[in-house]
Amino acid sequence: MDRHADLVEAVRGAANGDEAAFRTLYRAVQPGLLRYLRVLVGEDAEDVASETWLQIARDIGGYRGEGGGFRGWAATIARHRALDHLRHRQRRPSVPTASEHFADLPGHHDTEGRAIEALETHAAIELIATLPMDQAEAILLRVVLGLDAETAAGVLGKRAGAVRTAAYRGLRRLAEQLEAHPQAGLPHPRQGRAARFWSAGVTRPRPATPEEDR
Amino acid sequence: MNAYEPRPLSAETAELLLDGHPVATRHAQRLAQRLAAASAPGFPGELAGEAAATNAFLAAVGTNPALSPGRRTMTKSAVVAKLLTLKAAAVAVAAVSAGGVALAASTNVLPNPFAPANPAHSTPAPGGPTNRPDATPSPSLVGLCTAYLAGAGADHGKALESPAFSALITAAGGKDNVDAYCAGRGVTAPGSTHSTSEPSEHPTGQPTTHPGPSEHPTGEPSHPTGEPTTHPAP
Repeated sequence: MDRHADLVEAVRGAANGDEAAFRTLYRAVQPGLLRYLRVLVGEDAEDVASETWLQIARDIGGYRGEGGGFRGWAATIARHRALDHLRHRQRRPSVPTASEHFADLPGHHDTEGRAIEALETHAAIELIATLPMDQAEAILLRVVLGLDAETAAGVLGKRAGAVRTAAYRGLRRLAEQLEAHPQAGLPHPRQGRAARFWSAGVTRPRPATPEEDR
Repeated sequence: MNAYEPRPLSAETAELLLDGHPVATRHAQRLAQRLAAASAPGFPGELAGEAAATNAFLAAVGTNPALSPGRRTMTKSAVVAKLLTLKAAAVAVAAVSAGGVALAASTNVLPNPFAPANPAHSTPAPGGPTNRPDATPSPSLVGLCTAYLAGAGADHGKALESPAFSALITAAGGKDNVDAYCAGRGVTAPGSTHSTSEPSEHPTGQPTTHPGPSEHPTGEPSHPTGEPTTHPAP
């Protein structure tokens, strides 16, 4: 897939033990992976992502796919890890509750602009997390991880048509929600002004009320 | 749904959005903004685990011949050379650490996830804690400890038979001492001289030595997630 031609070289390098190539893969794929996992396992996303990378590090020597395939491969591992994790905890997939992890998202060296961007990203992910899980997963794999419908279907163990339908339904639902609540999926205005409010209020996705209009 | 807006989002528009194309139609504008935000480039906080992941990768290179095809017989020497290079870099950085913050910041080739908040180095490097080199005396051994402990699940005993761990066994003074030795290096024991990796999971504070709080993923070689197909079936 052209969109991911950049990773072909890195995959090959990492499979041959090249550290820089592995770092390239990590930086390219981890953010999307983490956002996907946040919807799947909530606050445990960091842990599951770490497990995912440990397995990638261990198994990439035997991986022979293309760069576009790598994202799908990584997403498949992450998803299996997440489902294992949920089984282990005997817990249903749930939307993120606390946002301690995201609290670190605008790191100390972020500019204010980057910090606000991070808040917007967080809010958007939480908005997607309000969807039924199959719709949320389809959208996240397509948009956030950049997979095509076929690859996303492979990750989910479904047919591509089913994934297309789920993604479309999810987007339509979000569009309707945004029609009714134009502020849905935006950071709370107070958070937008100061990143230190980051962890205080972004608990659960919730359509903004009209009073919250900026 | 309003009668004059029978279809807020067409399937065609949805497909464009899903492919990451900017869409500016009236109904899709806000949605496109949210999706763009959701797929924004990574933030530093999201990459906090890079050092730990890379460390696991380096450990895997040392213990898994499949990671270095064509170099199977050289696996041990290759990983030792690699780790010695890192060690040399650490020593070099330590030598100038008193006034060399700028250098340390630029030398982020040596991630040390084990000592992000070492009080002995009270100068916070502007490069951020995760990439800050640190004057760990033997990063090679710490790395081997990490590799050993990461695999300390099902094949706990077998792990030490790998030639890659011979340096660790030598340093520890025997296979039986490896656990205690690694604990002494701060890999598992809290309150060691490095005040490093507490086994608790501070998700944002530092990359944890063990990605899983109670599991050792590498200890499950036949885990079902181990072999996703190279080409996920359409």
